[in-house]
Amino acid sequence: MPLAESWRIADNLELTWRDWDEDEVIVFSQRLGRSLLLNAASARILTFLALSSPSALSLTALTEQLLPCCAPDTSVAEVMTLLDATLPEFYRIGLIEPLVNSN
Amino acid sequence: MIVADLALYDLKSRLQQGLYLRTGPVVSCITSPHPLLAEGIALHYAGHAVETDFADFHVRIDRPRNLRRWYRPQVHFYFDDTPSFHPLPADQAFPMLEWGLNWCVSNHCHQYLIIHAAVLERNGKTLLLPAPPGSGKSTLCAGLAHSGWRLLSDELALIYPQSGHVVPLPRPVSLKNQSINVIRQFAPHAVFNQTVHDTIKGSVAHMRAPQSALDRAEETAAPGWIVMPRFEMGAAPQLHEISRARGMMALIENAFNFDLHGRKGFDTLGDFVDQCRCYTFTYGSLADAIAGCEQLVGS
Repeated sequence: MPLAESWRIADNLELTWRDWDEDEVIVFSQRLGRSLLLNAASARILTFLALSSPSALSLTALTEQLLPCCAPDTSVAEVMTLLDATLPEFYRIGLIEPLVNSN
Repeated sequence: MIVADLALYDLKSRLQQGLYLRTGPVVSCITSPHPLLAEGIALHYAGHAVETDFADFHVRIDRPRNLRRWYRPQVHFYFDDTPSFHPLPADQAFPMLEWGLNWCVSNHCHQYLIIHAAVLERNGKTLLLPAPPGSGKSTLCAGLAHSGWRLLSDELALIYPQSGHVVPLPRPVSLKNQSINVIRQFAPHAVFNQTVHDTIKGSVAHMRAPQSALDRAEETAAPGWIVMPRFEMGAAPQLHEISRARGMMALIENAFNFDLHGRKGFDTLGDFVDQCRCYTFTYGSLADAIAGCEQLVGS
Protein backbone atom coordinates (compact mmCIF):
# COMPACT_ATOMS: atom_id res chain seq x y z
CA MET A 1 0.00 0.00 0.00
CA PRO A 2 1.52 3.34 -1.04
CA LEU A 3 2.43 5.83 1.67
CA ALA A 4 0.10 8.84 2.07
CA GLU A 5 1.58 12.03 0.67
CA SER A 6 1.27 14.14 3.85
CA TRP A 7 1.32 13.34 7.57
CA ARG A 8 0.73 15.18 10.83
CA ILE A 9 0.67 14.53 14.54
CA ALA A 10 -2.63 12.89 15.48
CA ASP A 11 -5.35 15.30 16.53
CA ASN A 12 -4.70 17.05 19.88
CA LEU A 13 -1.98 14.60 20.79
CA GLU A 14 0.39 16.11 23.32
CA LEU A 15 3.83 14.55 23.31
CA THR A 16 6.35 14.81 26.15
CA TRP A 17 9.98 14.03 25.51
CA ARG A 18 12.99 12.93 27.54
CA ASP A 19 16.28 13.38 25.81
CA TRP A 20 19.67 12.89 27.41
CA ASP A 21 21.70 13.81 24.34
CA GLU A 22 22.02 10.12 23.53
CA ASP A 23 21.16 8.08 20.43
CA GLU A 24 17.79 7.21 21.93
CA VAL A 25 14.94 9.26 23.39
CA ILE A 26 11.67 8.50 25.11
CA VAL A 27 8.39 10.06 24.04
CA PHE A 28 5.27 9.85 26.17
CA SER A 29 1.63 10.43 25.37
CA GLN A 30 -0.83 10.46 28.23
CA ARG A 31 -3.75 10.08 25.85
CA LEU A 32 -2.26 6.97 24.27
CA GLY A 33 -1.05 5.76 27.67
CA ARG A 34 2.27 4.84 26.12
CA SER A 35 5.95 5.56 26.41
CA LEU A 36 8.08 4.77 23.41
CA LEU A 37 11.81 4.33 23.06
CA LEU A 38 12.87 5.86 19.74
CA ASN A 39 16.18 5.65 17.96
CA ALA A 40 17.69 8.85 16.59
CA ALA A 41 16.21 8.49 13.09
CA SER A 42 12.67 7.83 14.32
CA ALA A 43 12.97 10.61 16.87
CA ARG A 44 13.94 13.10 14.15
CA ILE A 45 10.96 12.17 12.01
CA LEU A 46 8.58 12.60 14.92
CA THR A 47 10.28 15.84 15.98
CA PHE A 48 9.84 17.43 12.52
CA LEU A 49 6.18 16.41 12.48
CA ALA A 50 5.71 17.77 16.01
CA LEU A 51 7.38 21.07 15.11
CA SER A 52 5.03 21.58 12.18
CA SER A 53 1.95 20.51 14.15
CA PRO A 54 -0.97 21.11 13.73
CA SER A 55 -0.01 21.43 10.07
CA ALA A 56 0.95 18.39 8.06
CA LEU A 57 4.27 17.76 6.33
CA SER A 58 4.55 16.29 2.87
CA LEU A 59 6.93 13.41 2.26
CA THR A 60 9.02 15.77 0.16
CA ALA A 61 9.25 18.34 2.94
CA LEU A 62 10.06 15.64 5.49
CA THR A 63 12.79 14.27 3.25
CA GLU A 64 14.28 17.74 2.78
CA GLN A 65 14.40 18.27 6.53
CA LEU A 66 15.81 14.85 7.26
CA LEU A 67 18.57 14.75 4.66
CA PRO A 68 20.88 17.31 6.35
CA CYS A 69 20.65 15.25 9.57
CA CYS A 70 21.77 12.04 7.84
CA ALA A 71 25.23 10.82 6.91
CA PRO A 72 26.65 12.81 3.95
CA ASP A 73 26.27 10.00 1.44
CA THR A 74 22.63 9.26 2.32
CA SER A 75 20.38 9.29 -0.75
CA VAL A 76 16.81 10.50 -1.07
CA ALA A 77 15.81 6.90 -1.79
CA GLU A 78 17.30 5.80 1.53
CA VAL A 79 15.37 8.48 3.40
CA MET A 80 12.18 7.42 1.63
CA THR A 81 12.84 3.82 2.68
CA LEU A 82 13.18 5.02 6.26
CA LEU A 83 9.92 6.95 6.04
CA ASP A 84 8.25 3.96 4.42
CA ALA A 85 9.19 1.85 7.43
CA THR A 86 8.60 4.41 10.17
CA LEU A 87 5.46 6.39 9.31
CA PRO A 88 3.10 3.38 9.11
CA GLU A 89 4.42 2.23 12.49
CA PHE A 90 3.77 5.67 14.05
CA TYR A 91 0.31 5.60 12.47
CA ARG A 92 -0.41 2.12 13.84
CA ILE A 93 0.51 3.31 17.33
CA GLY A 94 -1.70 6.39 17.00
CA LEU A 95 1.02 9.03 17.07
CA ILE A 96 0.38 10.42 13.59
CA GLU A 97 -2.29 10.43 10.92
CA PRO A 98 -2.28 10.91 7.14
CA LEU A 99 -3.75 14.10 5.80
CA VAL A 100 -6.80 13.05 3.87
CA ASN A 101 -7.24 14.97 0.65
CA SER A 102 -10.86 16.10 0.44
CA ASN A 103 -10.62 16.10 -3.35
CA MET B 1 7.09 -1.02 71.24
CA ILE B 2 8.63 -3.49 68.80
CA VAL B 3 7.60 -7.06 68.05
CA ALA B 4 10.55 -8.42 70.06
CA ASP B 5 9.06 -6.82 73.18
CA LEU B 6 6.15 -9.26 72.94
CA ALA B 7 6.44 -12.81 74.26
CA LEU B 8 5.25 -15.35 71.70
CA TYR B 9 2.11 -15.88 73.77
CA ASP B 10 1.37 -12.14 73.71
CA LEU B 11 2.08 -11.95 70.00
CA LYS B 12 -0.37 -14.79 69.35
CA SER B 13 -2.91 -13.04 71.50
CA ARG B 14 -2.46 -9.77 69.57
CA LEU B 15 -2.79 -11.65 66.29
CA GLN B 16 -6.22 -12.83 67.42
CA GLN B 17 -7.36 -9.20 67.73
CA GLY B 18 -5.13 -7.59 65.11
CA LEU B 19 -1.41 -6.79 65.21
CA TYR B 20 -0.65 -3.29 63.91
CA LEU B 21 2.72 -3.89 62.30
CA ARG B 22 4.77 -1.05 60.82
CA THR B 23 6.93 -1.76 57.77
CA GLY B 24 8.53 1.44 56.50
CA PRO B 25 5.74 3.95 55.77
CA VAL B 26 3.03 1.30 55.86
CA VAL B 27 1.05 -0.08 58.80
CA SER B 28 -0.74 -3.40 58.32
CA CYS B 29 -3.28 -4.77 60.75
CA ILE B 30 -2.67 -8.53 60.64
CA THR B 31 -5.07 -11.02 62.15
CA SER B 32 -4.47 -14.75 62.26
CA PRO B 33 -4.95 -17.72 64.55
CA HIS B 34 -2.26 -19.63 62.68
CA PRO B 35 0.72 -20.56 64.94
CA LEU B 36 3.22 -20.69 62.05
CA LEU B 37 2.39 -17.13 61.19
CA ALA B 38 3.05 -15.92 64.72
CA GLU B 39 6.40 -17.69 64.71
CA GLY B 40 7.28 -16.20 61.31
CA ILE B 41 6.38 -12.69 62.45
CA ALA B 42 8.33 -13.14 65.70
CA LEU B 43 11.39 -14.22 63.73
CA HIS B 44 11.29 -11.81 60.80
CA TYR B 45 9.69 -8.73 62.24
CA ALA B 46 11.32 -8.74 65.68
CA GLY B 47 12.75 -5.23 65.18
CA HIS B 48 9.64 -3.70 63.60
CA ALA B 49 7.42 -1.25 65.46
CA VAL B 50 4.02 -2.29 66.78
CA GLU B 51 1.49 0.53 66.40
CA THR B 52 -1.72 0.95 68.31
CA ASP B 53 -4.41 2.24 66.01
CA PHE B 54 -4.41 3.34 62.35
CA ALA B 55 -3.63 0.77 59.65
CA ASP B 56 -3.31 1.18 55.88
CA PHE B 57 -4.44 -2.42 55.35
CA HIS B 58 -6.47 -4.94 57.28
CA VAL B 59 -5.43 -8.46 56.35
CA ARG B 60 -6.15 -11.88 57.78
CA ILE B 61 -4.57 -15.25 57.25
CA ASP B 62 -7.12 -17.85 58.23
CA ARG B 63 -8.41 -21.32 57.48
CA PRO B 64 -11.33 -21.58 55.10
CA ARG B 65 -14.53 -22.60 56.85
CA ASN B 66 -14.91 -25.99 55.23
CA LEU B 67 -13.68 -29.56 55.60
CA ARG B 68 -10.21 -28.54 54.46
CA ARG B 69 -9.68 -27.59 58.08
CA TRP B 70 -9.23 -31.31 58.72
CA TYR B 71 -7.85 -32.75 55.49
CA ARG B 72 -4.68 -31.15 54.05
CA PRO B 73 -5.46 -27.85 55.77
CA GLN B 74 -5.24 -24.64 53.80
CA VAL B 75 -5.11 -20.92 54.50
CA HIS B 76 -6.71 -17.94 52.79
CA PHE B 77 -5.40 -14.38 52.55
CA TYR B 78 -8.24 -11.99 53.35
CA PHE B 79 -8.03 -8.31 52.47
CA ASP B 80 -10.77 -6.32 54.23
CA ASP B 81 -12.43 -9.67 55.04
CA THR B 82 -12.50 -10.67 51.37
CA PRO B 83 -10.48 -13.71 50.24
CA SER B 84 -8.08 -12.26 47.70
CA PHE B 85 -6.19 -15.26 46.30
CA HIS B 86 -6.53 -18.99 45.88
CA PRO B 87 -5.95 -20.76 49.19
CA LEU B 88 -2.55 -22.32 49.84
CA PRO B 89 -1.43 -25.24 52.01
CA ALA B 90 -1.32 -24.20 55.65
CA ASP B 91 2.46 -24.56 55.92
CA GLN B 92 2.73 -21.68 53.39
CA ALA B 93 1.01 -19.22 55.74
CA PHE B 94 4.06 -17.00 56.18
CA PRO B 95 5.03 -16.82 52.48
CA MET B 96 1.38 -16.08 51.77
CA LEU B 97 1.45 -13.17 54.20
CA GLU B 98 4.57 -11.81 52.50
CA TRP B 99 3.13 -12.14 49.00
CA GLY B 100 -0.15 -10.66 50.20
CA LEU B 101 1.53 -7.64 51.81
CA ASN B 102 3.44 -7.02 48.57
CA TRP B 103 0.13 -7.12 46.74
CA CYS B 104 -1.40 -4.66 49.21
CA VAL B 105 1.39 -2.14 48.71
CA SER B 106 1.68 -2.48 44.94
CA ASN B 107 -2.08 -2.16 44.45
CA HIS B 108 -2.91 0.55 46.94
CA CYS B 109 0.03 2.82 47.82
CA HIS B 110 -0.38 5.04 44.80
CA GLN B 111 1.10 8.05 46.55
CA TYR B 112 4.32 6.41 45.32
CA LEU B 113 5.49 5.39 41.90
CA ILE B 114 6.05 1.70 42.55
CA ILE B 115 8.65 -0.23 40.60
CA HIS B 116 9.11 -3.98 40.76
CA ALA B 117 12.74 -3.81 41.80
CA ALA B 118 15.10 -4.54 44.64
CA VAL B 119 16.62 -1.38 46.13
CA LEU B 120 19.75 -0.90 48.18
CA GLU B 121 21.68 2.16 49.24
CA ARG B 122 25.28 3.18 49.65
CA ASN B 123 26.54 6.68 50.48
CA GLY B 124 23.01 8.06 50.21
CA LYS B 125 22.48 6.76 46.66
CA THR B 126 20.14 4.01 45.58
CA LEU B 127 20.96 0.98 43.51
CA LEU B 128 17.78 -0.11 41.75
CA LEU B 129 17.64 -3.66 40.41
CA PRO B 130 14.55 -3.92 38.18
CA ALA B 131 14.30 -7.40 36.75
CA PRO B 132 11.83 -10.17 35.96
CA PRO B 133 11.56 -13.27 38.18
CA GLY B 134 14.42 -15.69 37.69
CA SER B 135 17.05 -13.04 37.01
CA GLY B 136 18.74 -13.47 40.39
CA LYS B 137 17.53 -10.11 41.71
CA SER B 138 16.64 -11.26 45.21
CA THR B 139 19.81 -13.34 45.60
CA LEU B 140 21.94 -10.37 44.63
CA CYS B 141 19.87 -8.13 46.91
CA ALA B 142 20.36 -10.48 49.88
CA GLY B 143 24.08 -10.74 49.19
CA LEU B 144 24.48 -6.96 48.95
CA ALA B 145 22.43 -6.45 52.12
CA HIS B 146 25.15 -8.44 53.90
CA SER B 147 28.04 -6.69 52.13
CA GLY B 148 27.78 -3.12 53.34
CA TRP B 149 24.74 -2.01 51.35
CA ARG B 150 21.60 -0.88 53.15
CA LEU B 151 18.47 -2.81 52.19
CA LEU B 152 15.50 -0.64 51.26
CA SER B 153 13.40 -3.40 49.69
CA ASP B 154 13.90 -6.66 47.88
CA GLU B 155 10.74 -6.30 45.82
CA LEU B 156 9.17 -2.82 45.69
CA ALA B 157 10.91 0.47 45.00
CA LEU B 158 8.69 3.28 46.33
CA ILE B 159 9.59 6.53 44.58
CA TYR B 160 7.99 9.54 46.23
CA PRO B 161 7.13 12.01 43.44
CA GLN B 162 7.43 15.08 45.67
CA SER B 163 11.05 14.39 46.56
CA GLY B 164 12.18 11.99 43.86
CA HIS B 165 13.71 9.83 46.59
CA VAL B 166 13.16 6.16 47.31
CA VAL B 167 11.30 5.42 50.55
CA PRO B 168 12.51 2.30 52.42
CA LEU B 169 10.20 -0.65 52.88
CA PRO B 170 12.49 -3.04 54.78
CA ARG B 171 10.93 -6.48 55.00
CA PRO B 172 12.16 -10.06 54.76
CA VAL B 173 13.94 -11.04 51.55
CA SER B 174 12.26 -13.88 49.69
CA LEU B 175 14.69 -16.48 48.37
CA LYS B 176 13.92 -19.46 46.19
CA ASN B 177 15.42 -22.85 45.48
CA GLN B 178 19.24 -22.83 45.07
CA SER B 179 19.43 -19.20 46.18
CA ILE B 180 18.59 -20.21 49.73
CA ASN B 181 21.79 -22.21 50.20
CA VAL B 182 23.83 -19.67 48.24
CA ILE B 183 22.93 -16.98 50.78
CA ARG B 184 23.15 -19.31 53.79
CA GLN B 185 26.75 -20.03 52.80
CA PHE B 186 27.53 -16.43 51.86
CA ALA B 187 26.11 -14.93 55.06
CA PRO B 188 26.11 -17.62 57.78
CA HIS B 189 24.90 -15.09 60.35
CA ALA B 190 21.79 -14.23 58.31
CA VAL B 191 18.51 -15.29 59.94
CA PHE B 192 16.21 -17.58 57.96
CA ASN B 193 12.96 -19.33 58.68
CA GLN B 194 12.43 -22.96 57.78
CA THR B 195 12.29 -23.56 54.03
CA VAL B 196 8.79 -24.17 52.72
CA HIS B 197 8.68 -26.64 49.84
CA ASP B 198 6.28 -27.16 46.93
CA THR B 199 5.04 -23.57 46.70
CA ILE B 200 4.10 -22.11 43.31
CA LYS B 201 7.63 -20.67 43.27
CA GLY B 202 9.32 -23.90 44.34
CA SER B 203 11.10 -24.02 47.69
CA VAL B 204 10.93 -20.67 49.48
CA ALA B 205 12.69 -19.28 52.54
CA HIS B 206 12.75 -15.76 53.90
CA MET B 207 15.81 -13.96 55.18
CA ARG B 208 15.31 -11.40 57.93
CA ALA B 209 16.14 -7.83 56.94
CA PRO B 210 19.43 -6.76 58.55
CA GLN B 211 19.07 -4.53 61.62
CA SER B 212 20.84 -1.68 59.78
CA ALA B 213 17.88 -1.56 57.37
CA LEU B 214 15.42 -1.20 60.25
CA ASP B 215 17.50 1.36 62.12
CA ARG B 216 17.39 3.66 59.09
CA ALA B 217 13.89 2.79 57.88
CA GLU B 218 12.85 6.45 57.81
CA GLU B 219 15.88 7.59 55.83
CA THR B 220 15.07 8.00 52.15
CA ALA B 221 17.74 7.75 49.47
CA ALA B 222 18.54 9.68 46.30
CA PRO B 223 18.80 8.19 42.79
CA GLY B 224 22.14 6.56 41.97
CA TRP B 225 22.32 3.53 39.71
CA ILE B 226 19.84 1.45 37.74
CA VAL B 227 21.19 -2.02 37.05
CA MET B 228 19.36 -4.79 35.22
CA PRO B 229 20.91 -7.95 36.60
CA ARG B 230 20.97 -11.32 34.87
CA PHE B 231 22.43 -14.44 36.39
CA GLU B 232 23.94 -16.92 33.93
CA MET B 233 25.62 -19.96 35.42
CA GLY B 234 29.37 -19.69 34.89
CA ALA B 235 29.23 -16.43 32.90
CA ALA B 236 32.09 -13.95 33.23
CA PRO B 237 30.89 -10.66 34.77
CA GLN B 238 29.88 -8.06 32.20
CA LEU B 239 28.81 -4.64 33.39
CA HIS B 240 27.66 -2.66 30.39
CA GLU B 241 26.54 0.96 30.56
CA ILE B 242 23.35 1.65 28.60
CA SER B 243 21.50 4.82 27.65
CA ARG B 244 19.40 6.59 30.24
CA ALA B 245 16.51 6.21 27.84
CA ARG B 246 16.80 2.42 28.11
CA GLY B 247 17.16 2.70 31.88
CA MET B 248 13.97 4.73 32.05
CA MET B 249 12.13 2.26 29.82
CA ALA B 250 13.18 -0.53 32.19
CA LEU B 251 11.61 1.36 35.08
CA ILE B 252 8.42 2.04 33.11
CA GLU B 253 8.14 -1.61 32.07
CA ASN B 254 8.59 -2.74 35.68
CA ALA B 255 6.27 -0.13 37.19
CA PHE B 256 3.04 -1.25 38.85
CA ASN B 257 1.23 2.07 38.64
CA PHE B 258 2.95 4.26 36.03
CA ASP B 259 -0.31 4.67 34.10
CA LEU B 260 -2.09 6.02 37.17
CA HIS B 261 0.47 8.81 37.58
CA GLY B 262 0.26 9.94 33.95
CA ARG B 263 2.40 12.92 32.97
CA LYS B 264 3.52 13.45 36.57
CA GLY B 265 4.78 9.87 36.67
CA PHE B 266 6.69 10.35 33.42
CA ASP B 267 8.31 13.52 34.76
CA THR B 268 9.11 11.87 38.10
CA LEU B 269 10.83 8.92 36.45
CA GLY B 270 12.61 11.20 33.99
CA ASP B 271 13.96 13.34 36.83
CA PHE B 272 14.97 10.19 38.70
CA VAL B 273 16.86 8.79 35.72
CA ASP B 274 18.50 12.20 35.17
CA GLN B 275 20.50 11.50 38.31
CA CYS B 276 21.30 7.85 37.55
CA ARG B 277 23.74 5.88 35.51
CA CYS B 278 22.21 2.80 33.90
CA TYR B 279 23.66 -0.64 33.24
CA THR B 280 22.98 -4.20 32.27
CA PHE B 281 24.92 -6.67 34.35
CA THR B 282 25.46 -10.33 33.53
CA TYR B 283 27.27 -12.42 36.11
CA GLY B 284 27.90 -16.05 36.97
CA SER B 285 28.50 -15.91 40.69
CA LEU B 286 27.38 -13.90 43.67
CA ALA B 287 30.96 -12.84 44.42
CA ASP B 288 31.31 -11.40 40.91
CA ALA B 289 27.97 -9.66 41.23
CA ILE B 290 28.90 -7.97 44.49
CA ALA B 291 32.28 -6.93 43.11
CA GLY B 292 30.53 -5.41 40.09
CA CYS B 293 28.27 -3.34 42.31
CA GLU B 294 31.28 -2.16 44.32
CA GLN B 295 32.79 -1.03 41.03
CA LEU B 296 29.79 1.26 40.54
CA VAL B 297 30.39 2.98 43.86
CA GLY B 298 33.98 3.64 42.92
CA SER B 299 33.24 4.90 39.41
